[in-house]
Amino acid sequence: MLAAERMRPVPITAYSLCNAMGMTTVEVVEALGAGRSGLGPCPPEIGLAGSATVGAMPGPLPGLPARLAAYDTRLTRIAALALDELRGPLDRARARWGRDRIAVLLGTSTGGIGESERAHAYHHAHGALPAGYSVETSHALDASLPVVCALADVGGPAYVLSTACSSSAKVFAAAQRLIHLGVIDAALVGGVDSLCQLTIRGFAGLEVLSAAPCRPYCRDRAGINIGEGAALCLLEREGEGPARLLAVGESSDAYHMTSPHPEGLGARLAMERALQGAGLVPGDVDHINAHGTGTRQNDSAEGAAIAGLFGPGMTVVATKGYTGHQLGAAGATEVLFTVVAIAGGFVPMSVGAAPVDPEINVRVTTTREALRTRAAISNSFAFGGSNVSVLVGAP
Amino acid sequence: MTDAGGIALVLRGVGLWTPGFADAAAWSSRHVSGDMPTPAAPAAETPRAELLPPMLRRRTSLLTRMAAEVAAQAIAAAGLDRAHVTVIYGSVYGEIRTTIDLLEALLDPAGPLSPTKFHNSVHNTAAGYVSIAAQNRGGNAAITAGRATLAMGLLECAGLVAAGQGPALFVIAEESLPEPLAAGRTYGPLAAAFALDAPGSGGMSLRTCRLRQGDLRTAAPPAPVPAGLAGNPCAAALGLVAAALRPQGSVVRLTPQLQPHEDRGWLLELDAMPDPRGPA
Repeated sequence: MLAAERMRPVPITAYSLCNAMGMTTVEVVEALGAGRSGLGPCPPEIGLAGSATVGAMPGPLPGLPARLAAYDTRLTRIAALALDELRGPLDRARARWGRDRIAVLLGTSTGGIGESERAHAYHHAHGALPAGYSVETSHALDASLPVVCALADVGGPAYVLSTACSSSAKVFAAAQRLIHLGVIDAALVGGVDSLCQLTIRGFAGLEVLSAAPCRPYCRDRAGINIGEGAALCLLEREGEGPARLLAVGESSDAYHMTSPHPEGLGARLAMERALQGAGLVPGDVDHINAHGTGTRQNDSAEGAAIAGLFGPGMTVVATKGYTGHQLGAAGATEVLFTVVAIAGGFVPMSVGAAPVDPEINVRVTTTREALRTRAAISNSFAFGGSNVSVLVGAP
Repeated sequence: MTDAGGIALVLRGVGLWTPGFADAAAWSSRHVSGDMPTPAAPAAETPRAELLPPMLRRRTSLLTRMAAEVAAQAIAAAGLDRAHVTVIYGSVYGEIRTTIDLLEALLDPAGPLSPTKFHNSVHNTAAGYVSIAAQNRGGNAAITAGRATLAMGLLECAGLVAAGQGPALFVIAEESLPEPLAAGRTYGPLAAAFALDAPGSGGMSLRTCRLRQGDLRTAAPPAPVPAGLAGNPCAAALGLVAAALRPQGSVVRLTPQLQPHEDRGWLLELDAMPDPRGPA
């Protein structure tokens, strides 16, 4: 690979979060500061026969406007909820750049698969698909695009990246490149995933699901919980905001479909490439929001990669104890948690991490800590050995 | 890099597989302008996909095998190093056949889900397997944008090229959609690949081209495709492969004109191939 060109930092001018911690950004940010987890039992509408600890949306999801009814799914409702908070910033960006100069780049892993679960079961029972179900508008990974583009009233390039659990970290890289390329001036980027049986039972099949709330980086960690939610933000060529996207490092393990390279080789490569892209050295980074899923293997490999590159004292926060693993929405959610930390001058408590695994050679936060962060990395790793490190800096 | 004329790129090589057409040359030679391409041989069931190890080849989906096959074709045609090219994979429904198997298994509320099928259902399944087989530690991604997947995949590659990350390969692949979710939509599988690079990057090159938005009516009408492939949401890639191998320049539609009043879409403007005898 050639040495990548240095791209200009991109201001993150507005953001929005909804997940198990809260229905609004204010609620989510408040819970993150207070160290309050949103994990709980799986809601009955997901249709799971047994019980599971998950990060479910904590309130009823408002429906879509009638003109978008064909696209009405749990996933698009979550996306619309997060988008609603960005109306003001989008109006301003549209006036400044023009609606066709704003892209929509989303990450999702589930798309509307939950609707297909119900449709398939209905077909099994009745011999026909339910009214209102269509694979194009209900199931497809890109079915969130018409909803988000219409509600945001933007008309630039629109696509979905779906690389399992790194999906919505990848979109930050894509947005920075498209702004550099000159085809857009701003991008609405982020991720959205919704709870469904397929992911919960799929991870159960892989024997990495924890029945109790997950405990990333803890000595006693026993697996992951699945979560849902949306994280959206506005990236603009120029502007004022709480943080800046400095660079994104991407790599592949080229090792195994589901197991990370045991020494975290691919994870280290992604973090190194992020630093390289921004022209920074490890000493410039003040904390890392770990991928930290809560499986024994993943946290050990990531911890080894962080300690190897940054030294044993690096401050690490793992936030999946708040939200569960939001899969396709996890990357953007944790990039925005990093933005919240930079703006608030703190590093959140890693819920569930105490007592920290003594065999992992990094410093995991077990309380909220005051810290003025100049630059921080948010890691996301996925099936297929897909690794993304998003480097975010103070404004 | 980009102006009113569009994003300047070099197309270095292409790949194609669809039943009855084992590679891009087979497709192109049976695709005389304006005529319907016809298979030269009975439809092959599955591509060779020699990039994947034999054990794996038997276990993966047709989608992943098609993607591996056309990626290898375009890598060879463009003279690229498979361990160092960034690959973007486009598909609308991705690993839909594996997904349907999982939906079937979910009908049993207590039944186990196959862990292999589960991790083989993600949109980046081919990306994972090909990166492992090629020992490629670069980034990759899997993209979808519905009927605009071809255009958006090429745009994503243009972004990579502009970022100085070297050549980028766009692989687009679509299996047929299984029932019951298909609800009567029937189309055959196809895959194509396009190796893009920066102008003046050296190396093997088919021709220069420009990716741009414009009036779809200025493009050549969509190339005819066999009836069994017309409904495939990635069928536009077939026309692009045919145009890419014709010596004459042309403007190719990347996005369909869904409504008569919606004239604006994405185009790829292909310059004429350089004359092999050099300038007159």
